[in-house]
This record gives sequence, C-alpha cells and structure tokens, in this order.
Amino acid sequence: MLVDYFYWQYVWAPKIFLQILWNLERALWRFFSVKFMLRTLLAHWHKDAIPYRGGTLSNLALTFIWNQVSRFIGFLIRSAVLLAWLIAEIIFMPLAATIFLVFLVWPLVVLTSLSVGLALLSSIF
Amino acid sequence: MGYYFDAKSRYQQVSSYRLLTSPITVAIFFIATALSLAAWFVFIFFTTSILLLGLAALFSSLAAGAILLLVFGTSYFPYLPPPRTVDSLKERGDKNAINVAAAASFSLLLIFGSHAFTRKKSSLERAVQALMRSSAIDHLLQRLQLDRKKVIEVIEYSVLPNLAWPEFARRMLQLAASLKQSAIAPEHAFGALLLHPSLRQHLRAAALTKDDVLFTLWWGSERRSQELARQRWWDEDNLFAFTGLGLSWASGYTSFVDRFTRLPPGSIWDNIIYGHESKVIELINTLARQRQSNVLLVGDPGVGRLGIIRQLAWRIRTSSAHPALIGQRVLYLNVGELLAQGESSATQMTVIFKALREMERAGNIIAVIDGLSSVLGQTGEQRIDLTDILLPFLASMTVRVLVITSSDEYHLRLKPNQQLTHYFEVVQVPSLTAAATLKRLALSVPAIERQAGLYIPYKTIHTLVEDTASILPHIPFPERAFDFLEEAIVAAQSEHAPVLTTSHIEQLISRKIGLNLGELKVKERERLLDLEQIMHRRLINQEAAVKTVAHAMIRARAEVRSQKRPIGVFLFLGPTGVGKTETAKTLAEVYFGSEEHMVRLDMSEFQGAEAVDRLIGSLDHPVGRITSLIADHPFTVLLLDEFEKANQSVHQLFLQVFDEGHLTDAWGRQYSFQHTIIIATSNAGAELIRQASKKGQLPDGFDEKLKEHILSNNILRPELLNRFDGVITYVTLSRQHIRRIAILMLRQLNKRLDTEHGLTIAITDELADFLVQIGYNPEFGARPLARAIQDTVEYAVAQKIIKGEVEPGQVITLLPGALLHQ
Repeated sequence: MLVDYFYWQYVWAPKIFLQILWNLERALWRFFSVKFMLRTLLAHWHKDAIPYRGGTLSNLALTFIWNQVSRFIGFLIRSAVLLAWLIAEIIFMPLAATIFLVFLVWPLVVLTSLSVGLALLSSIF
Repeated sequence: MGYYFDAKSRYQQVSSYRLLTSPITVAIFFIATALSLAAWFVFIFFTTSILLLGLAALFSSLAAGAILLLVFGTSYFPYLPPPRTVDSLKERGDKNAINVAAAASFSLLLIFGSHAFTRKKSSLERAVQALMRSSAIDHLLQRLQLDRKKVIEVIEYSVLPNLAWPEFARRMLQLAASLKQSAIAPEHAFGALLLHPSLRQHLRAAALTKDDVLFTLWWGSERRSQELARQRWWDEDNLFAFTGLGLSWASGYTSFVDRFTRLPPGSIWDNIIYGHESKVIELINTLARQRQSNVLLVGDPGVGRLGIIRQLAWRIRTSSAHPALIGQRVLYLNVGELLAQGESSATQMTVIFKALREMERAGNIIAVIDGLSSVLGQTGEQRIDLTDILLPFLASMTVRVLVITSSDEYHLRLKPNQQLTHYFEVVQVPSLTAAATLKRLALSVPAIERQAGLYIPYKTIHTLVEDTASILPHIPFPERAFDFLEEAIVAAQSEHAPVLTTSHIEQLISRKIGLNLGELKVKERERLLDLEQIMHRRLINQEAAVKTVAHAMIRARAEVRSQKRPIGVFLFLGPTGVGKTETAKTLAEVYFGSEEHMVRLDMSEFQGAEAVDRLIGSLDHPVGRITSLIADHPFTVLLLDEFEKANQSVHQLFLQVFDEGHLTDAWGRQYSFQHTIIIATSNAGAELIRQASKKGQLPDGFDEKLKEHILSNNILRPELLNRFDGVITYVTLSRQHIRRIAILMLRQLNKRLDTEHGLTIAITDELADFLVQIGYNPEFGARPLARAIQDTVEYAVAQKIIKGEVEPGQVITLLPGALLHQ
C-alpha cells in the first residue's frame, strides 16, 4: 500500500490535477473567446460599416470616420473581454499553483505537525 | 481452454480500500477535526499553554492525515484499470487456463471480497450470495421486475448446485465480451447467473428471454457510463459545455430575421439521438465545407429531424462541432410567418429577399427552413416561386441553408428541380428500426421518469415497441413509440399508478386499434385449439378444409420461426360459393373477435404492369392499396380474391410478404403483416374439383394432383406455392349441404330479426326444402341460396313488418306457396 500511496501522491494525483488545471485553463480561454477576440480585435462592431459610395471628399471622410468609430467600439469591448480574461488568469493561476503545492507538501505538513505536537507534549510530560 | 477466477493478486487493493475508507478512518477524521478546532480555539482565545498547542498540532495532523488517506482510498483504488481487458482475455489462444479475475472490475472484486481467491465451492456460494445482496444489481432487478428474495432462492436451489468457479468465470467473461465491455462488472456476474441453463424455465415463467436480460445489461452499462461521465466534471465534454463570449460580435445583426426564428420546443427524448449520431456528423461535415455547404435533410416528420437540428445547434453553440463552424448561429426560420408579412406575391418576395440579404450580410447564419417546397412554386396557385431568388444565396459562401423536408416532398417537388438540388447535399434520415427505438427509449427513460414521477420497467418499453411496430406505419419510429408512451403516462398518472405497466400500454393500443391486444395474446392458444370446432359450426361439408386450416394455423404458430411472419398464409382453392370467404370471415371472428377484421382485395384488378405501383404506391400512385389497407387494419384477415389473376410481379411482391412479413413502399416506410392472416383464394382447377367431388368427398391424393395442375398450367410459380402454410381444397356442395346451409342462414336471419324487431321465423322442413328448390345451383354453390333467402323470406318478413301484421315476440310461419307468389 505504501508504494501505491507514493505513486498516488506524487504521480497519479498530480497528473490528474494538472489535467484538470489544463482543462480549466482551456475552458477560460474558450469562455472568453481569446483567440477569436484577438483575431477580430480591430474588426467592425457587428459589421456595422458604411460602404464607400464615392461623392464629395467630406462624404468619404465622414464614412471613414464612422467606420473607424465602429472599429473603435469593437476594439473597446473586445479589449474589455480580454482584460477580464487576464484578471481571471491572474487570480486562477496562482491559486491553482498554491493548491497544487499544498497538495504536494501535505504529507510533510502532517508529519511535521505530528512531530511538533508530540515534541511539545513530551516536553510537558 | 480452461477458466478460473483468482483475485488474490488484486485482493491487496480491495483490503487497502476497505481499510482506508472504513468508518474508523472517517471517525478519526471527524473527531480529530473537532478536537483540533476546539484546542486551537481555546489556545487562541483563552490560554496559551504548551499543552494546548501540542494537542492542537497533534489533532490537526491526525485530521489532515485521515482526510489524505480517505481521498487516497476513494480516488485511487476504484479507478485502477484491471490488469487485462475482456477482449485481451478472449483473444488469448494459449493452452493455459485463463484467470478471468484479471479483467474483473474493482466493484466486482469489492463485492466478492476474500471469497474470490479460493477455488472452493463454498467460496463460490458466498461470493454469489454477496453479489445477490449487493446494490450493484438493483438496476437489473428493478427494470426486470424481479423479486430479490425469490431470485436468491431460485439461484441457490437451481444454479449453485450445478455451478463451479470455472464455468461461472467463463460465463461472466463471455457475457462481458458479448456486451463489448472492457471489464467485468457485478451486473455481468449477475447476468451470468440469470442466463444459466438451469434458470431457463424460471426465466420463461417470468416471461423473460435471454435477449431481455442482455438488453437490460446493456441498459445498465449505458447508465453507468453516463453517470461516470457526468461525475467527471473536469472532462472536456462537461467543462466546455458553454457558449463562448462574443462569438457573433464580428458578424452582422439579423434584427429582422430574428423576429421569425423560433425553434419549436423539444421533448425530453430530443436530447437523445441514439441511432442518428452519424446523421449529426454528416450534417456537420457538410456545413463545415467551403463550398456546397447547404443541406437537404430528408425524412418524414417523426423520425427525429428536429432532434438532430437541436443537437447540431448545441454543438455549434458550444464550439464542439467543427472549427469552421465556431461563431455560427443556427436560425430556425418560420417561413409561414415570414410570408405572412407580405400581402401579395410581390411583397412576399420582397420580404423573403430582405431576410436572405440580412442573413447573407451577417455572414454567420445557418438558416434552417422547414418545408421549403411550400414556397417553391410549380404547383398550387397560392405558392410563389422563389427558385430564382434562392439560387444566388445558395451559391453564396457566407450563408448556409439547411432545408428540412419530408420524403414525399423531396421526391415529388424538390428532386425534379435539379437547378435547385444541385446546391444541396442530401442527408437522409430514415425511420429508426424497432431495436434502435427500444434503445433510444431506454436511454430516455430516466429523464421521462423524473418528469412523469413514474417508474418504467423494461417490459413496458419492450411491449410498447413490439406492439407499435406493426401498427400506424405512417407515423415513423421513434415518434410512434414516444406518442404512445406519452399517452400511456397520462393514463397512468390519472390512475395515480406508481409504475407504468404493460397493461397501460396494451389498453391504449387496444383503444387505438379497436382490438383487445392483451386478450388477443393471452387467448390465442385457446382460440387456436377451439378453431376447428368453431369453424365447423359455420361451414358445411368442408371437413377436410376446416381441419387443414385449423391444423395449419396451429402448426404455423407453434413452429419455431421468425415471429415477424404473418400469423398464417393460406391458399383456398375451389369453385365459387363453397365457403372460402365464409372461412375467412370465421377466422376473422374467431381470431380477432369480429368479421369486420377482414379486408378484401380483388386481385384481378392488379393485372397490368403498374400493378405493384398501385399496390404499394409510387410517385404516380401516392396511396398504395395494400399499404393503406394494412396501415388502417394491422390486425386483420387479408383476403386476396382471385389471387392467380394478379400480375407475376405482384406474386413476387407477396413472396416477400409471406417470407419476411413486411413490405416497404416507395418512400421506405415499412408495413408489417405480422398480425395478419393472409388468405389467397383462387378458382384455379375449379372444374377439376367439381368433377372429383361429385361424390361429396375428394379422392385420396387429389391435393397433389391439383397442385400439379396449378404448376403445369403455370397458374402459380412453385416458390410461391411452397410459401403457403396450407393449400386448402374446397369441395362442391350437394343438395343436402345446401339444405343445412339454408337452415344456418335462416338461424342467422332470426338472430338479426330478434335483435331488431323481436321476431323469429319458424324454420320448417317445408321452408328449407323450398329454399333448396329455388336456391340450389351446383355451379355457384351457396351463393344463389343467399339471394333466394333475400328475395323470398326477407322480403316477406319486411312486408309484414311494414304492414303492421306482426308484433314483437311473434313467430312467423312462412308458407312456400305464398312465398313463391308474392
């Protein structure tokens, strides 16, 4: 059982833990559609663009400005989503790493706590 | 090759698991946690003694250690794969004995415990007893409606004395292999016991077959794997089941189209697409193409087309369909509502054009159009022809169109329009088979049970599928089964029944088809045994024919052959008016409870080359004569008059019916003849019969002579003649026979008169003789007699009733002289 335990503690469980971590990481990536946001970062917001139909220079300029406004709106909203993803990552990654580390050192904590407890008690009796 | 079951090498896992997850470990965890919390609390808030600190540290370490061991025990040992898979054990061709325990699941080892590594008989008994007490077989027992105590009793008395470890191990392995499982689960061990030859009689007594047990085992395995999949929340399937943010932000708005898009609400079973998985993949692969990514989804309403669309929409929404479809939106377009926006054809065209333009501009739309043929034109004055508007959009790479259409619509209206169909990939969705329907039902049952608050055992869904398989063929599976299930659930709920039983299903079907199905099944044996006697009451001088029919029916039902065949298939030969139709009517009354369960088809109408088309339907003949008859009357005596006169191709068609018991029409719908008695009648050889039966009896060996006559004159082909369960010859009737028939007919008339007017006719010798005198014609048998009774007796009685000469309760005496001169 001891061999099984060490195998579980340091091979089996960490492997599953990392697998879960990787899946959660990908879920976050997919939830915030990071790849899609980056690919369409400067795209028009909902294809909201006016076609250039010629005319006066001021008309062309107005169309250009409006189209840039549409792109800017899209950029702002997508950036907000990307920022939200970054924040989620900043919270999630250290938390996951901490849990993982705690799990790895857990047996050590148990043993240390046990020996400290016994040492303190033996110092009294 | 030998088998044995020795789990000694794996017992250490079982004992470790038991130790680590024992109540002691759990108790240590809770007590240590409570004590450590208390110690820390006192240490922090009240006194800072070293004793308390030491105790707090000690109890904390104990609690932490206990939880670690508990997690280790529960998350490791049960999930360790067995050293060998079932397949690898089955494939081993060496001469050494096979240790089946190597492929046993941990749960089975846990149940067997230490009994699984001694090969003694006593250990086998204890292992089986432990298995029978375990909750792992609950599903099987409950679904099969078996009483645990009785099963234990029967297994202990019937199976265990004849069972040894090697045989038990072999049976478990074989069962798991036949169910394509990688490990042997407790259910397989229980199944191996249930299917032991010693239990065959008991299973039959419980109205269960091997297939029933195997199906329930499959059902249990599916349930277990679904539960396991649900528990693994971290798996991709569970974790990624959401819609990503902003996937449609780079696509255009569809504010106009959105007003007319609403996918009809689905049922519970729509989520289960068993049997149609390949269709969803076919759809996805076509839609993901760069070019020609439009689909025609062809299938009759009820085959599960919307379920497939829902599944597609779900996979696209969760980005699990195909990378090319990420960000796409499935819009179910309600064409009728859209067209209602325009008052004239021109405005309707404008509306459609606007919707199509918007979808094309959006660039991420998969437009689902239900019933496109209603707006395509070609027939009907109210319809508008949108072909020209649609074609550019179908060619467009930014919009995908998915058209749902029925097989009829596709063949009649869409297929001829090659200009249009050129842009589509056709995905056919056929009706599910009965076996696939049963599996889909089984997988839907847990959700249905939760919603309905009823328990649905295996026999109920089995009866449901079996009994609906041969009725209402125009409603395809699975809808036919689910419709009946829904209605039966409502009936059971109104009775406050906790379990949906087979009788709920049978009652419902009986109501629908006008026949007591349960009684039909139960009383079939009684009716068959009494058939000869009952037929004799109605048929005169056809002793040989009656005997042959009755015996052939018993033979046909008792023979071990396909249950899908018709109940009986007979050829009645003989001159007209000798009782062929009367026999058919008698069979209908005896077997199905009423003469109304006989339908007649004059086969002389099917002599031309298009006869088969007229019988089973075609594009030119949308309604097939025989298919519609069977659809309306699945439980019937089908009388095929003058069978020999039908076209050869019709005879070929009936070869399939006689053999396999079903027909498939031009649209792929199956019509079952499983519950029909087919009687083909023929006048072939009538003269031969008349000559031979002058003495009232046919000479020995006449049947063979008649068959030879039929074959040599090419009236029927030998392969067809051999398919009949019985070829029955009817002899001509003498004056004496006609006299007895006259008395029978007068008795029947009396019954009618008594019911309707309270009158009876005195059946005198004079009257009978008179009727024979005017109604006997050896060439036409009893037929002129019926006309004679109608013209004389019935007319005379009718006159008396109208004149008011008779009163209820009166016995009318009719004098032949008066009848002749009326």
